[in-house]
Amino acid sequence: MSGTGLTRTQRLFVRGLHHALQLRFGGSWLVVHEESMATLGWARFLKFLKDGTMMVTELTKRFGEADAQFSVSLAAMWNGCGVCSYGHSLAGSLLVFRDTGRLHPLCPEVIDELQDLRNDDAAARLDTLLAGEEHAQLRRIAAQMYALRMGRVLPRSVDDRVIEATSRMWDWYTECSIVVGMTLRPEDASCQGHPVGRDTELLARYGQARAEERSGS
Amino acid sequence: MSASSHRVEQGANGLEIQLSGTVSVESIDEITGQVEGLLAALPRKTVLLDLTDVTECGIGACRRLAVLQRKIGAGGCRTAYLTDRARIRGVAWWIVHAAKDPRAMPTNTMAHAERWLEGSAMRIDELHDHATNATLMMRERLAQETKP
Repeated sequence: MSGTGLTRTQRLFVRGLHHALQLRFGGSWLVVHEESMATLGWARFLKFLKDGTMMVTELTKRFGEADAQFSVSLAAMWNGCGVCSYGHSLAGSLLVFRDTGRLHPLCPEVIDELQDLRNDDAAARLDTLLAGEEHAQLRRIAAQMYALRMGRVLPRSVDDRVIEATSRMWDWYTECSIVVGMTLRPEDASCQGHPVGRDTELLARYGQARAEERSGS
Repeated sequence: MSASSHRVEQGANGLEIQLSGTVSVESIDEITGQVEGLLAALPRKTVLLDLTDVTECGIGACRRLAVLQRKIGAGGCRTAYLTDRARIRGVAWWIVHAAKDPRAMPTNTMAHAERWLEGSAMRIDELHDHATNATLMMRERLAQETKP
């Protein structure tokens, strides 16, 4: 069902965009972007690209680069979509590993496990995973995002508004990304729109460290 | 893999379809047979698909559910999907998108499901509007914050 019904101009534009993004960030968005263009049409597709980019920029200014990536990952995670939930958690985790040498508790494999839990259990597990002062900001973002999604609180602070907008934006994004995201595996994650995914030496060191973590060595 | 079960019930508030455990293709075929006979006679054109207790739904069952959703949509009904696991919420998103039914929506809570069933908005318009409004509210608050 992907990409059907595009005009020749739309198809050329999406392929050109895909090529440019691939050169800059690596990864592949072709199916999702074709589906988005076919579903939303020109105006909303372009708005969606612009607003999504603006949202990540705003999150980065407010919460820092890594927690911005994790915030997007969590917004997509609650929708059960692997495209952004795995991709942005991988980007966040790589950034933390690059800057501190430490492995972050959130990564595509953990996000994958959270998706099978009941909502309240997943929220509680997140809270446990993000225990500790170094994760205090992300723990607060995660808790507030869940409470807002479930209608348990209303957005009041500026941070709430940023978190709410992130959730809403990725609800919209999921409409089309789910064509790939429902069946994507965590090991197939690519850093969505973040150049850290192009650092092959970092990726290799990170992969090794995660493998050692899994084997308990 | 947990045992699968389902229930189809017609009430004053439209049709309610409840699934649990691992959803099978056979169970969806059975439900489709039951639902087809009920849709035309529904006093209130709403369907609640309660997937709260679903633990697994393979791609074959998803495809069958998308076919069922098309039939529900063709009957002029609004549909809300209720889920309690992110994975199954992804399944609901996939089904409503594949079915191309603008009146079907995955929802977070029963209150959200009821609001959707009572409303008249189309899904993609609502998703777009909510994202746009939330972004505008965020920008307003950010602008206030930066004022001296």
